[in-house]
Amino acid sequence: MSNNTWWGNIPFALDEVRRWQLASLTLQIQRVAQEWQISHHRQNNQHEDEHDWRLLPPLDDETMPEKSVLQRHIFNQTSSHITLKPQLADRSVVIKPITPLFIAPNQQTTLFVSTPLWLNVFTSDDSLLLDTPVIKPTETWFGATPIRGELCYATKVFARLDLEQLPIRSFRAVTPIHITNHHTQSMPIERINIPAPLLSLYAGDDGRLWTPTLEVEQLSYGRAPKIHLSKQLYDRAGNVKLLNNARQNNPENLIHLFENFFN
Amino acid sequence: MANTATESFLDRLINLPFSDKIEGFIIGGFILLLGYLVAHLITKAFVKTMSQRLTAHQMLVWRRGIFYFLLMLFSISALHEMGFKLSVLLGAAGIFTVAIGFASQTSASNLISGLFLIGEGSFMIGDTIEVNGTIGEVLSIDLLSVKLRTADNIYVRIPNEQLIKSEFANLTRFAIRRVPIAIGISYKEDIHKVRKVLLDLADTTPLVLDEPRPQVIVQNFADSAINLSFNIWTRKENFLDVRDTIQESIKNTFDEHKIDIPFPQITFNSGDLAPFALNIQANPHESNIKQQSGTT
Repeated sequence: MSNNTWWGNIPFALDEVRRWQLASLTLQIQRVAQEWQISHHRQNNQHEDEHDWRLLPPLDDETMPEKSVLQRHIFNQTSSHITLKPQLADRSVVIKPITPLFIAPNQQTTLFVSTPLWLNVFTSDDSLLLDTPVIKPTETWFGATPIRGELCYATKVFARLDLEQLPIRSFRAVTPIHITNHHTQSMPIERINIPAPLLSLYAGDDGRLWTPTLEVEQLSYGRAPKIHLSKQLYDRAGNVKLLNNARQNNPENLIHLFENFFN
Repeated sequence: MANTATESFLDRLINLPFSDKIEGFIIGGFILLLGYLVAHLITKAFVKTMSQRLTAHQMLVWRRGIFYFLLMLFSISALHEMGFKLSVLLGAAGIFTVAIGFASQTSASNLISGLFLIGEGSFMIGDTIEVNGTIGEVLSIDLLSVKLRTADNIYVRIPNEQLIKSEFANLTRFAIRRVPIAIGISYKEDIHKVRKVLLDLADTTPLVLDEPRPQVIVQNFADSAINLSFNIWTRKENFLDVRDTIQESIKNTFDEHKIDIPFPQITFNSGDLAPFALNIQANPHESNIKQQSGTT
């Protein structure tokens, strides 16, 4: 179990309280005989690159911040453990390369981009108690005009070509994008829309979190590129373990993506 | 003479013997009642089965359409049972329409406007619209009027004719909205610095969208201030929240960076180059008070 594994099954004795500090998110879970009490608090000044997490000492007189959100989930009888799982964003994530990127004619490459993670809290019978971003990304509009488009999350990335340069971070998942430009002109990449709700999440050997590869083929300039989700994970991911299924399993969304993948 | 004409018209209209007429009316009435119930039940069943797939507006159009169509079929059948000849009735209806048209011009105009409004689809149930200064959420689009609920929870009825004739704004048609904030800064401020402070603020405010990019535009050089327009985008649901929080944040950030939001100022000029000479004197009344308070 590597140091950045913050997910898993957590045993809870009756009336036990546990607290986590996941980047700027403080999470507290308490088991009572008939209810799970979950409170969380997000600091105002959060930073996208934070990846520290730690278990906080059990509560004595220290309480959660005043503005924290408390939820009480009532059951006939609470179970002896709870599961924390990472999940991908609930809307598409638009990534913006920090510097402009062009794929030369008749060339292909694999870009490694990372997208922010959500925290899921499940009971032993798979009831979802909490679904919240660990680091809340900024919202953005992805579309040619303010009339047509969709609401997404925005994140700035380096779009690394070398996986080694991409740091291992606890609260971001890596999506490889394999782009082939069959056209005779350079293919500019300004913004890429990653369909996060359609991607499953896997944990790799190296401690990274992986999603399936997106295969993109640009056939002719001005026309939408052909995109499909690869069924296999990227080779370098090694032996992987499925952590969470995709939020949506709807091929209609991929068709929608054809128009909107690049802007 | 007129009496005979009326009789012959009625005779033509109802051509059944007297005993059958009562029976026909009873059966017709029964069919009408049954029609109402059937139309009501079918509409209700339709609403139940389709509620997940259709929007509230589509549901309204379908519900009304199905209900009135079924009711019309049963009404025709009922009239037939009552012994009315439809061809004659339609002819009479033509004359009646003219008469009704003159008598209830406004209602008819509203009715037709209502059909156009539903057909045009400029707004739907649940949208927020602004009509002549009234802003409210559309509760229903009926044949004669549109019902709104304002933010004060007041029920407002607007005749359809008014909506067809005048300009109205649908505030929630598109998913995102621009929030324009007018700001005046003092002439001594560095516009470049103010622009940067505002754009950084937009970047760190969670509900402000990353794209379309926030903008700071210098509007004009006014009497007491340089007027700027700070335009940010947000989801339509967050419009009021963002307008509130961003203005508070602007005030706080400007205080932090010592950027001045000036009050209106007036410069007096006598026409001479030399400035006015001002003598500041203590208010004699005030000094009296001070003296009195000093002695007590």
